[in-house]
Formats: sequence, C-alpha cells, structure tokens
Amino acid sequence: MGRGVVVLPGILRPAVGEVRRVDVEGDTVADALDDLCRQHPAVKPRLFDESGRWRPHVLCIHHDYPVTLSDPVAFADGDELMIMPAVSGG
Amino acid sequence: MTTLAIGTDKGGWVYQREGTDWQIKEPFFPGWRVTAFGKAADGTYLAGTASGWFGPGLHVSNDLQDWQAIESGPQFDGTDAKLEQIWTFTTGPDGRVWCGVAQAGVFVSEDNGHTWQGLSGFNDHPSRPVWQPGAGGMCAHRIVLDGERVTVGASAVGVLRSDDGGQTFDLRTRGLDIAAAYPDHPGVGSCVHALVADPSNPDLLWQQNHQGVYRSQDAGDHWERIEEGLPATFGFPIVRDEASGALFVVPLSADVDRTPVDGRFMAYRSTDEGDSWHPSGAGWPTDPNFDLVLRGAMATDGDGGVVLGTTGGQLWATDDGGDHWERLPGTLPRINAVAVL
Repeated sequence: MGRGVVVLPGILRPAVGEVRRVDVEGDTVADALDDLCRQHPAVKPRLFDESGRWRPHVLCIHHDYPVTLSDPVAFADGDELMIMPAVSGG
Repeated sequence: MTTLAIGTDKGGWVYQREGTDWQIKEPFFPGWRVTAFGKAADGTYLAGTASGWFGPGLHVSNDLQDWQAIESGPQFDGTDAKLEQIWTFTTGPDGRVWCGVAQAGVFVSEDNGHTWQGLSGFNDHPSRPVWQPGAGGMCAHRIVLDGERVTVGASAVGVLRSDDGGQTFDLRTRGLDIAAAYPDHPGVGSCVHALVADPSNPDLLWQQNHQGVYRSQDAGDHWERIEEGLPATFGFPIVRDEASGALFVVPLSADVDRTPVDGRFMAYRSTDEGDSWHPSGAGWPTDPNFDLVLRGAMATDGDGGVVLGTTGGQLWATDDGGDHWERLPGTLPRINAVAVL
C-alpha cells in the first residue's frame, strides 16, 4: 500500500479544512482518492457526480499525466496526486 | 433593511447598513458561483453554490462568513435527473425548508437544511419526460407556500400546484402562452421566470413570464395578462413589497435582446395589483444603461425596502417603497442572487 499526498486547488480547500495537501494511502489512485473522500466527505461531491462518476472537467494528475480512475493505476509510496480544473470552456 | 446577501458569478458578498452608510464585508466562496440564499427557522443561513468544474453545493452558516458544506444536500435518487444548481430556498411556517433546483426538482428539509428529501410528486411528475430547459436551465426557481397548497414556478415547464402538501402536483397554466406545446401533456411548456403571491390573500398570484406579465386571482387556475404601461413585457424578476402591496418588475426589450428599452434602466411599479404599471420613482441612471436583472436578483424586506442586483454588478435599492432609488457602493461580478436577511 502506497502512502502519498493529494494536492488540492484553492477553490476546494474549504472542503478539506483549508489545507493544501492531504496525506492519503491506497494500492491504486482510485483507492487514494477514496481515502481522501473518507477523511473529508465534503470533497466527494466536488469530485464525483451523484452517479459516482468522476466529474468530466476535473483532472487528477499523477506523475505529470492525467489518469482515468477506471484504470487500475498503482499508487506508490511518495506519490502525489494533483487535483485541478481542466482548461475547458474556452 | 440592514443585511443583504449578494450571490455573484465569483463569490458572495454581505452588505450591512449602518446608519446611512453601507459596509461591504469580506467576500466568501471566492471563485464559486453563488446562486441562492435562504434562512432556516432556527436562524441558520443557507447558500447554494455552483461550479462548472466541481458541481453544485449547499452550505450553512450562523454568521454569513464561516460556511460549512453540507454532505447530504439535495440529490436525485434513482432517476436520470442531475443536480445542476440550487435556485431557491423557502422556509415554511412549520419550519420545513423547501429548495428548488435545476434540473427542475423540489426537495424538503426538516432539520434546517442539513439533510434533504426529494418531493416525488414533483420530481417524478407524469409530464416530466417532456419538460424542457429554458436558456437558464430547467429549473424550479420559485416555491410559494400556503398551508397544504404548494405552488412551484418552473422554467420552461409552467406553474405546478399541489393541494395536498406536495404529495401530488397539477399544472396550472390556463391563460398562459405556451412556448412549446406537447399534445400528450397539455399545459406543459410555459416559461415562468418568477412568481410571487400576496400572503394575506394567497389566491392572488403574479408572475413574470418569458412571454409577458400575468396575474391569477384563483391560485393559478386561470391567468390574465397585466401589462398596461410597461415598455416591454419580457423580464425576469417580479417582487412584491408586503407593506404597500406594490409590485416591481424590470422590463427588457425582448427575449432576443434582453436589455432595457432604449437603455433606460429602471424598475416599474404597480400600486393597483398589476392593473397598471409606471416607472418606479426617481434616482435611476440618466446615461444609457443596458444592464439587466436576473430572476433571483431582486428582493424585498417587506417594509418598503427593495433591492436589485444587475448582471453588470451594480446594486440599486429603495427604502420607501420605490419612490426613491440609490445605487449602492461597489461594482461586483455578475449578480445572480440577492437576499434581505
């Protein structure tokens, strides 16, 4: 099981107690995000819609590239996930 | 009028009147679109937020500055409907809080806004498959309560009324122009922009509709046009000052234009329950002004105070029932919601 951090944009910090980084753990990126939402339930509806799907205009960056949660991407010790709004809408 | 909550495309602001001066407090929800405000029976403030990236949210506060996100906000269960935006909060005399949302839905809270239950009589209405959005979305934006009677204005659906406390709803659109008719569901397709009632005579309703200004004297069973004196019949808000009974609208030239006629920005007032309309008092800009007021951006304090916010970020207010208007200090982002709290 990897132990790392999730870095959140300023607009989401009120949902995680006004911090920028949250320590998380998990075997996969999806597990790590589950851990984030378990620690801070108010952030879950900001990242997932009511169907449980990842919001389409939100990026989760892992090792400099966006990841798709349906892919079982391994989460290793020291990994960092960066949540950011996609450059969408023109 | 002492405290105003202003929701904009880029956060919320509180204005407080101290003597004759308005104090602007530090903004809250920076970066979020703030779409609605309410106040629960126990004094808890409610706010709806939205983001194109991070979705809609509901928050509560005791002081309008420190806000707590609600985890169990309104959510559609078991349907394809999506929660896009919170449009309105209405607190009933029994303490229940009613919330109207897009995509057209109604939710009720019995714990001052902390948890919510969908109103299936509205949210699963038999005509829902043909409901369509207006330009502002498919939204339940006004909820009028009178005992067991619940009247909802929804765009671009119509007026729906329940006589059994919200268990079942029927369309009440007779007399309204229908923007798009559906043979299997007659009466669906009227684009209600705002709805207001006379609390002392709840059978008396008024609405600003996409296609004109209307009145009902029988709780929505029938509607009649009331447009004498208006320079244009399109607009978004309609409010009523409870103290004087005066009605206020802000006419816009047409739905393809949506600006004040000839750049003469002002509210119009009716002091005869909508029979006739006149420019509301003095104080309006004399230079051409093509601002507009959205449906949630006009509010009253019930005692002669009326305030409106524009898409250009200006606030205008009267405290004498519409005889004199002044522009409040500051220029904000596009204003979606104004509440007197």
